Amino acid sequence: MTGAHFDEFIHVPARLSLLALLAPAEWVEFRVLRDRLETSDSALSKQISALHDAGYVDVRKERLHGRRSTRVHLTPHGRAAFQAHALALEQIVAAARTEPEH
Amino acid sequence: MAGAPVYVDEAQQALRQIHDHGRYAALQTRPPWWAPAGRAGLILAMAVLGDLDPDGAGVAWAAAPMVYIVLLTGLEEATDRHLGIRLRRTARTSLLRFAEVALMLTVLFLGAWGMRALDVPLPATLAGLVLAALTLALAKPMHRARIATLRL
Repeated sequence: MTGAHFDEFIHVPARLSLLALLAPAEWVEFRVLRDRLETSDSALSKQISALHDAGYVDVRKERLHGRRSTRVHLTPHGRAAFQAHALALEQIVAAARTEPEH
Repeated sequence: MAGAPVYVDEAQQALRQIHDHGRYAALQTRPPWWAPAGRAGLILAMAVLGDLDPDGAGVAWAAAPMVYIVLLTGLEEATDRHLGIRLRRTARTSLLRFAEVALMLTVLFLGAWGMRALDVPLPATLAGLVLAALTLALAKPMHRARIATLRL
């Protein structure tokens, strides 16, 4: 388990949702991400590109039986960053709970 | 600290978002009905082959494991393509898979041995039927267990 680290790059809602969908999976197809996030192809591509450039996700394109498929998956670096960010969020919430009220 | 409550609300909302999307993705990995049915069918076909060629001397028997693996791999690929997502494999999910295979093999050997001892006709087919039924019965709980091991 990595230590807590609040990552502003990940915290952008569109990216956070994307990473949360990828976290329990080995890979997720582009169409599944698009349908769940109710976003356009171009908007999703933009977020995936940003995450790819940061080294958080990898994209594999393949063509099987005439159908194009784009599979997105978290890199080990991306998974560690996402876990550290989630842990930081949990710590913020936990600290607020234990803080004495004035 | 001014602004802190907003920050905490934001963190709570982000955690909810993570949990909801993670849960959704995990549930999306539930195989369609034909995936366990296909696996059960393959197991049954192998079992029937065991009765057709009890000595294991025929060519069909020698090729059977290879054909089984190829068909099973094809079935898994078809399932992945249908779902558009594959659940993450971890040490815990692998352990669960190992336990499932161990249970199947135990049932297979005990079933085949018991039926041969009772001298029932088509012992391998009957053992295969039990195994196929077990495959179908375990499909849903095993999927749930795999998700549970990921601790979403």
